[in-house]
Order: sequence, then structure tokens, then C-alpha cells
Amino acid sequence: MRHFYVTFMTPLTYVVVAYFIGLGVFYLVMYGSAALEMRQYLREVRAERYREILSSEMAPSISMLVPAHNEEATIKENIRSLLTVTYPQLEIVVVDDGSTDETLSILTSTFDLKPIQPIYDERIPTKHVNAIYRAQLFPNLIVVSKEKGGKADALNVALNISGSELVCNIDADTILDPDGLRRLVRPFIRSRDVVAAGATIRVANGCTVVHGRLASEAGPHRALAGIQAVEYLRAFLFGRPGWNRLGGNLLISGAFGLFRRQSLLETNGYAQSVGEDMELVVRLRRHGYDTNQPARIEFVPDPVAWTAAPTGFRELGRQRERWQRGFSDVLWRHRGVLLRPRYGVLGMIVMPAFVLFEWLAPIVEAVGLVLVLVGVLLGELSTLFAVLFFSLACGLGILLSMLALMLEELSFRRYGRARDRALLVVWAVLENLGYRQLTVVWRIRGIISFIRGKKSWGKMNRKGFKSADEDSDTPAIIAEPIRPAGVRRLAPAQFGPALARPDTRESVGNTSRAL
Amino acid sequence: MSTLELLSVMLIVIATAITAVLVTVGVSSLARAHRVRLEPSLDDARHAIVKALSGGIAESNDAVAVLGRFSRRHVTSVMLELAPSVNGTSRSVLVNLGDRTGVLPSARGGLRRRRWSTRLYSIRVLAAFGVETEEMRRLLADRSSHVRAQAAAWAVVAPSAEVLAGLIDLLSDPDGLCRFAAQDALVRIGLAGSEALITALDTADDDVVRRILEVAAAMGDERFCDIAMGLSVHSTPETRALAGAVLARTGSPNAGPALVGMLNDSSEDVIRAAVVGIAKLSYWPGGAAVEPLLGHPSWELRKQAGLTLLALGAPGEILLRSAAPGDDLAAEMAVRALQLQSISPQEAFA
Repeated sequence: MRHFYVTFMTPLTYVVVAYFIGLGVFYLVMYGSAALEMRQYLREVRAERYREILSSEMAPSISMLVPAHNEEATIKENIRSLLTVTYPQLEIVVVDDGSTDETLSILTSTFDLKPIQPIYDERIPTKHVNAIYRAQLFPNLIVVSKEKGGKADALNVALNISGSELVCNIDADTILDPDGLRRLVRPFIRSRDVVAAGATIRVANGCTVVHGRLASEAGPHRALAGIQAVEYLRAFLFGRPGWNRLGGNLLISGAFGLFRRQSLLETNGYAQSVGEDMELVVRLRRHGYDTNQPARIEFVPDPVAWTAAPTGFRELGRQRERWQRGFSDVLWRHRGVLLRPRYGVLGMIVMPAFVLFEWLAPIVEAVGLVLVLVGVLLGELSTLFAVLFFSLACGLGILLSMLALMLEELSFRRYGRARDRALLVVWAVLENLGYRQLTVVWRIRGIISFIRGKKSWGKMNRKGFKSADEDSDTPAIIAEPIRPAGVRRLAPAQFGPALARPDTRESVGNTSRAL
Repeated sequence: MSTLELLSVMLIVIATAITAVLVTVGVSSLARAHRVRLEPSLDDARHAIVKALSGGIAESNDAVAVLGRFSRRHVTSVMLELAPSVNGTSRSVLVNLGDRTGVLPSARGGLRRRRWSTRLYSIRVLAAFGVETEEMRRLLADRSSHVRAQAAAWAVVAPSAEVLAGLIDLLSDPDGLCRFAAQDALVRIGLAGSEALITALDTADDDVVRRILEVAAAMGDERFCDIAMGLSVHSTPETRALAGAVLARTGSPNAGPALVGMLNDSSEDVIRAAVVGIAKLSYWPGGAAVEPLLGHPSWELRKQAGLTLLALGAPGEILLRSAAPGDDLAAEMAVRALQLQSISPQEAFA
């Protein structure tokens, strides 16, 4: 055994150490790139009044596509949140993807839906549409009831029905800043080459929601949600801006992204994939290279959307396993891009970096931990080496998280209370002591389930936006608008057959999974 | 150097970096805490400004004294909060306060600075106060696209001939945001800008012609009708389609027949623009020319023809009911359109 370790494992140990050093350098380069990007962006938007520039008749029209499946806990607040969004030409298309709960009834009673029969072209084939409704209270709100077909199918239905120049996909459990669209539309106005744009999403746990709007932005007070808040900061404050400056953005969160509708139709819309958000962006970029058309993906660092993070280990584990599975699926589907010069930056830099530093990271990390432990047990490695190695790995993780916190502190400063900021520092440290190792396990499980061919989304429990005293890490509603008079409630039977339940939850994306 | 020594050195480097970052976060946090502590005092500043706004320039001495206690950055931020909400005499008072507290002189000076971000911030401050200076006009041709776009957004308040010429020049700007800001400004300026746009059409290249037509389609000035009729036979389909949109928006008596003439165009986009235009004008004599389009191979055109006939009221309905019985495509679309009659026109055009 000792001979085996010395012959094979010792060189592997050096490979692992070299990988960690490479990873550290890679992320520091990304950080530098992100810092420059953020500096430029903050200078651009300083004292800007979006209302003047973008509340214009010349602004492109936008349809918000909202897939919903069994979202009874959050649907009302979230649609209200979307209705508060200020944008000149906005249509909201909610697609109830065969919910078996009260999602559609809640929508019907809250917004007074009436059936309509718009003439639309089914450019992308989808599951059967049962009915289409328009809200009497808000004429720009359209609700579609359809047979269950998954999130991508629901988005494709909305894409067929919408008639706007740009479409925005947003999850039914995401709260949007009222000015969010104005900020996100900017890259599309700037250049016709932009086919998609994403923005920063933050963890809503601990925040307060009033009338569908985020009333106070506070950090989570529980470790699990707090650590995820740090992860989100890291991913969105330097993962994506960093890639943006290097021209290699591959991720627009499924929770909130803006796309040119024509580009989506040309690439056959959303694909059935667990990682459909990343898949779409890779496909759009690939299509651009294949057809010799510009296909730029832009990222706006402004925090414009807020989403509830899982508060239980089981749920979180399922989510991370699903993300890694989706990520693996995307890399496999688009393996033809890898190291092909005709795909330029995408094929020669971005995809290899994603494979090496994102997809492979949990495997290398797990191998490294096992090797060091075995080496110590066999007496081939000193305990001091093991401690130093572990401390180095943790130290690098803590440094990257701290850098993200510093970027937040020097840029948007959305966490107002000193206590929240101090807690974020604590979570950034704690993340490396147990949580990070757990995510390695979940991600390896994701890779294994991808190899086994698992396709399902897995079950996800919605906690909704409860009152603050129920659960301090759930976005809290402190006020409920009164239901308008004359609202009628339709029986669920009116909306077609009830079908099974998938999970239509978004993925934040893969950036910084290795951290 | 042994592996252990290397690891130790790396660990020390990382620990030092973490400490440095933590110190930065801490200092920034302290600065923010100071700002929070300052907030009640800033409320005094806000109250002083509001008092001055309601009392007129004569009452502004007290406000100047109160504002003098704060840094220019804080005074600027407080004034920028209020600036968009005031107008008329109150705005004059605010400008007077801005001048006396050094906010506006500093911003005027900033317009000549080398850094684009300083010029951008300065023009935004001046624009928020509604101030007009010669330098601001010159910024329409600034080397930074951000500054040019902001100057275009400001230009709405000062639509002189020189500014209009600058805005028209921006219609051919390589940066999309500048072009957008210029188009938006021209739409907001409205009829005062029409003459300059019409004159510019004589010398403009194809791209600029299209952007002017986009502005004209949003403005709806009848003076564009003859020009749009002329451009409805332009060599590029995009221009012809935009000319159709302009014709529909002008509402001129000549627009309807011109749009009917465009239904024979070779481009689907142009025909579609003409069909939409006929619906917008409710030009029912055009119904008979639209009816054959119900059987057009293009789904988009068939749909638009159906919706247009529906929008024409009773004449359109008769045409829908009599839609080519032998033509499956036309009959199907006519049925779809007629089904929409059971609901309101607003719902039908979902």
C-alpha cells in the first residue's frame, strides 16, 4: 500500500497542489477583471436618472416570461412585484405549467382573469395550451394554463405568445427591483449585437417584502442561508463581471435574464435540460459563431432581483446536485465547441476554463482531501503538511469571499446594517469549515447522477414569504394589499386536468462553484 | 525551498491578504457608519432647502448657512434628491442655492475635466438642476459616448438650432446609447424639432434616414406625410416599412391611399407595415385590398390582415365573413379573427 502511494499518489498530490495554485491564480485574475468592470459600471451609472433616459417611446418593448408550477406560496407576491416594475412597454406572461395546487386559482382570484383568444404562431412546438387569460385589473398581465411540460416548455409557450422585441425570463419566486428592467435593457440599447443580458441576483432570506416590493435589504441570520448569500455575492460580484470583461460570459441566471426574442426563436427557444439557463446562453453564443453573426452576452452588476435560498440541507443538497448535473449536461451537449478555434474565445478559453476550474473542481478537491488523509495515515505526509495544506485551501476560499465582500462594500452597499456585514464575514469563514466539503459531495453526486442519466428536477418545497416571526431567514411580508372588489374566484376544474408536479426553480448558475 | 516552506509562505501571503481586505472592509464600514450618523443632520439640510424653496430666494440665506456645515458631496447628494421634484420658481431658488453653495460652479468646472467620468457626473448634476451652459452644448460632440448620451438627454430642455443639429449628428453615432438618447430627445422635443429633421433628410444617408423615420413615427407630425410618401418607394425595404409606419402615425387624408398602394410591395415587412397602418388609421376603404392577404403564405401577414379587417369594424367583418371560401388559409384566419369578436377589441389585439 505504501509503495503504491509513493509510486502513484505522491505525484498526484503534487498535481492537486499545482491545481489549487492554478485555481487561485485564475480567480485572482477574474477578481482583477471584475474590479475593473465594476469600476467602469459604477462610473457610468453615478447619478444617472433612468427615468429620463429609458422611460421613452423609443425603448424596446419587453415581455416578462414567468413559468410557474405549484407556486401557490409565492405566486401572488411575485406577480405583484412584477406589476410594480416601471417600464414603458411591458407585458407579463405567466405560464401555469400544469400546477396541481392552487396556483391558477390564486392568480384568477387575485387579478380577476378573463379568458382571451389571441392569434399567435406556435413557432416552437409545445405541450397543449388549455386556456389563455388576461387580467381585468392589469391589462398587461396574461396568464396561460397549459399541460405540464417542464420549465423550458412553459417558457417556450410564453415565448410563442409574447410579441415584444425583448423577453425576460423570471422565476415565479423572484422579487424584482422596480428599476431592474431599465438597468438591464441598457446593453440592448447600446448595441444591436447583444442577444442576452443578465444581472445580479441576491438572496432574499432575511429581507422584508411589502406589497410585492423589497422593503428592507437585510442579510440572513442563519448560517445556511448566510453562507449562500456569500456564495451569491462571490458569483455575481466577481465571477460574472470578471467573465464579462474578458468577453466570456456563459451564464445568465434562470431566475432573471433578458433576451432578444428573435435570437431565441432562431435557436429554437429553451431546451429541455436541467441546466436550461446555461444551455441557452451557450447555444446562443455557438449559434453566433456558426452563422457568423455577433452574439454578445452582457452582465449588469447591479443587484436587481432577489430570490429565496433553500433553508434546509436536504433541499440545498438537491439543488446543488441538480446544478452540477445541469452543468455537466451543458458541457456534454456542447462538447463540440471545446478547443475548436472556429469558436474563438468560447471554444479556446471559456469552455476549457469552465471544465478545468468549475466542473473538475469538486473531483480534484475530493481527491486532494483523500490523498492527504491517506498520506498522513500511511506516514508519507507529515501532519504539519496536512494542516498547512488544509489551511491553505481554506485560506484561499476565505480570501476570495472576503474580496467579494470588499467589492460589495465599495460598490453597491446593499447590506445597510453593520451587524449584517459582520455576519457575512463570519459566514465567509464558516463556509470553509464543513459547508464547502459538503458541496463537494453534492456536486460529485450531481456528476454521478448525470453519468447515470438522471433527468428529473427533483422535489423542491416552497416556503413562500412568511411572517418574520415564523422564520427569520424567510423573506418576510409585513403588509398584505387588500383584494379589490369584484374579484371572482374560478374553480380549478375550469383550467383543465390537474397534472403531476415538477420543480421549476431556477439555478443561480455555476460560477464560483469551485470556491 | 521545501514543500512545507512553500506552503507556509503561501499561507502567510493569504493571511496577510485576508487581513488587508478585512481592514478595507472595516474602514469602509466605518465611513458608512459616519454617513448614517450624519443622516439626522442631513435631514436639517433637507428641511432648510425645502423652507428656502417655499420662501423664495430671500429665504435662502438660512439654507446656505445650514448647508455650509456639510461637505460639497453631501450637499450635492441632498440637492440631487430634490432637484427632479421642483420646477419654476422653486427651481430658480434651488439653482441659486446650488450656485451659492458651490455645487453648480464645481459641476460647471467638471465639464472641462479630462476624466470622462467627471464630465459625465457634472453634466448629470447640471441637467438635474435644469441648468444650460455653452459647455453642455459642446458635450454633444464629446469624445466619450457616455457623456454624449447624457448631453443628448439634457438637450430636451434647450432645443436651440445648434442643439438640434448636434442631436441629428448623434443619429449617426457609432454608439447605440447615443443614438437612442438622441432619438428620444428629438421625440420629447416634439414639433419644434420637425423642421430640422425634415431638412436633415435631404442630406442624410440611409441609416440616418431610417432613424429619422423612427423618430417621425413616434412624433406623428403631419408634415412628415409627403416625405414618407416619397420614401415609400425607397430602394431599401426597411426604409419603406418605416415610411409606412410614419404614414399611419400622421393621420393625413393622403396616408390611407398611400398605404393601400404599399400593399403591392415585394417585401413582406413593407406589406405588414402597410396593413398595420391601415388598421391604425381605421381606413376602411382599404379593407378590400387587405382581404386577399388572408390567404398569404406568410402566417404573420395573414394574422395581421385578419386583425386589421377586424379593426375596420363592419366593413372588415363583411370581408372576413366572405373570405375566399375555397382558400383554406384565408378561411382559417378569417374564422380565428371572427372568434375574437366575442371579446373586446383591446383583448383581441393581445
